[in-house]
Amino acid sequence: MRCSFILCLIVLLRLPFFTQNDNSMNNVWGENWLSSSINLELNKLWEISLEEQIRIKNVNELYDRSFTELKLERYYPVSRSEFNFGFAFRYIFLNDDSGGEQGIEKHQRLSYYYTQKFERNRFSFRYRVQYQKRRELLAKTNKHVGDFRKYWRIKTDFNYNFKNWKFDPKISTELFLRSSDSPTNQRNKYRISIGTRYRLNKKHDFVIKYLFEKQIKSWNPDVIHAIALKYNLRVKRANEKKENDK
Amino acid sequence: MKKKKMINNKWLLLLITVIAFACKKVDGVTSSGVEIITPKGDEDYLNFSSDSIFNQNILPRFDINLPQGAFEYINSDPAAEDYVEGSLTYKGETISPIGIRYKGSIGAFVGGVSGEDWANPSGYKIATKLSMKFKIDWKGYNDTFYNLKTLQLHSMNLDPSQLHDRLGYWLFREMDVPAPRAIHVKLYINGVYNGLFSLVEQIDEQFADYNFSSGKGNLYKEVWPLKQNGNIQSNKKFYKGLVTNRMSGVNNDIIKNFANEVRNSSMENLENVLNDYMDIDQTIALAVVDRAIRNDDGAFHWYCFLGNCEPHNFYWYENPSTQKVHLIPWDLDNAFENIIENANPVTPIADIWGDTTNNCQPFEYGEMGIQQKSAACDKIVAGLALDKSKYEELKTMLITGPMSEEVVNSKIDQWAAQIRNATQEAQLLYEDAISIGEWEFEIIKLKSQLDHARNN
Repeated sequence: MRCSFILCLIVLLRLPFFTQNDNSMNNVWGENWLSSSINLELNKLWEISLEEQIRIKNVNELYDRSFTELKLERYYPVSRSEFNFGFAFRYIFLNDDSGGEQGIEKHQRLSYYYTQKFERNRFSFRYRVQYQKRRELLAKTNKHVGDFRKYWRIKTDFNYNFKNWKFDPKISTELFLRSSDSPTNQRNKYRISIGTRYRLNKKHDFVIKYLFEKQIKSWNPDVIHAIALKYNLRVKRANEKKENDK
Repeated sequence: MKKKKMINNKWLLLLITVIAFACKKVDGVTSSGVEIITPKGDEDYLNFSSDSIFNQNILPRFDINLPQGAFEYINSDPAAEDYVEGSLTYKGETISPIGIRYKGSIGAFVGGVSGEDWANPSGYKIATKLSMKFKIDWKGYNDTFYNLKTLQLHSMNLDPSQLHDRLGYWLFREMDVPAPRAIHVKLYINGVYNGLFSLVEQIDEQFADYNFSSGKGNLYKEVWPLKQNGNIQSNKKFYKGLVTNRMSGVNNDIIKNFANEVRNSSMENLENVLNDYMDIDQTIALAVVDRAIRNDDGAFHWYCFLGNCEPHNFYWYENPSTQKVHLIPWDLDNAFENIIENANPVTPIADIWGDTTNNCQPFEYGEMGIQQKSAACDKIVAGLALDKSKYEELKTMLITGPMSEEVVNSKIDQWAAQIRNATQEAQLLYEDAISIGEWEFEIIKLKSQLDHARNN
């Protein structure tokens, strides 16, 4: 089973890597996303998390962006599935390396999402619908001069829990759809990722994944290959822990 | 255990190699395969001014080259106005890469794309030529081309005389109104003659620098300082319409103060306020030319849709050195049409200069019955219309000067001779190109329209 999975992985990776041709002329670059997060379970229903991430480009400019994200999530258990509502605020330092005025810009991003997860035997499936709005932070009087973009994002995750293996794979697909009032230079795009979560123990885990992102346009679309590495620390509130221990 | 580790490492190495291979850039070309040419510094396009391009005595030939895939891409949906990379060659010098796209508002795509709804242009390209924009300072590869950062080529598909842009802007400029310069150019795409275009100067910081004592001010596209109810325009609208200085720290104080003072002034004091903030002679001269050539799709046509009335096709410039605002005309392809009769079903303005209709409420007018509101219901226009003697004085200057029969007809003949061969060449190549016979008829018609304008 594991061999079959690795074989599928190779086939999947081959597809995006070798799509460069004269008919589309992809604009390809690589990135590394390094992040860490702390997740605090306030009780059985609420969780709050704080994440720091830095993204590094492998071409031209080294630094792409870094951000701090604060996320609040409400969990709703129901029979055979679970769903969550969440809200996240992200403060971003973004390296704008195109256009007339270049340099590090400050942006904020607000996102609202809904997820639902289904599990059957060793297989789990989750989808997420998210709306996000990112705006460059400028003085209130001329905030409309700054960059802004809005996206609807639809994501699906597939996960399989292998027996006696710590590297259970997770495959995700995500569609980014620009909202009708988005700037014209903002494009629809999609993202495919494959990775695994390695649990050190109940509190600590690492996630490593490969992401492929591509704009949906037939000529010269931006294509990103990224390797993401994330460390998570999961903490429960003291009284919550005691209740669980009982 | 060791063997397992080695296998894992091999996979990792393979993954890194494949990623590195996929991300490798080829030196000297852009990601879309367009050559990056680094100028030596002695090129004419770096050392000569824009006057050598907007020279009324020449008919330049522009050659653009772009990858076939890029050409097919922009042809598949011109109204999307997506840029692709290509190069521009003029007088043996090539600037590469530049950004190339089709351009236009609704009118520019009428009959040019396959979509059936003319009000929402869509679909693939069906006309031989469509208006285009060349971005010279594309992604920082180049700076200027004869001191211009953007070139815009108008297809003139709705102007069978092929002279509206060039003649209209020339008349404005002859009357000392800041307006774009315009000439004709022949365009070749990937070595194939595409047709004759009017090259109209982009209204941007280069334009401001050329026309005003300081070119560092704010330029606003299609933002009238007052709303239809007489209140000051919103900051959001001003900043969204900002063309230059789109950066942190910019303010709109000059135009906002102007709007505020106009709004608060009495009708008796209005002329003084306008005089403080505008070059009155220049702005009335703009109105004189605008009305003489019936630029009915311009700044004095307040179109009304769903109860909201506002004009379009104009710019305002704030000159920081004089603290004055300047109105700039834009998009003249429909000018001249309504001089003798209301030939255009959409654009005709009902009022003569300074008049109002329907007690300043929207009313239907023109063959298509589109709602409009009298321009003089706006306090700025009303104030400009107060000085009737200045208007008449400038009108006399126009019709005895640049628009006199002798001067204007001689200009038309000169330009027509300049573009005759290019027009004929297009006719031989393309079915949708204008025929020489029809074009000559339109030139005669234009002259009679001007004659009518002088005498009415």
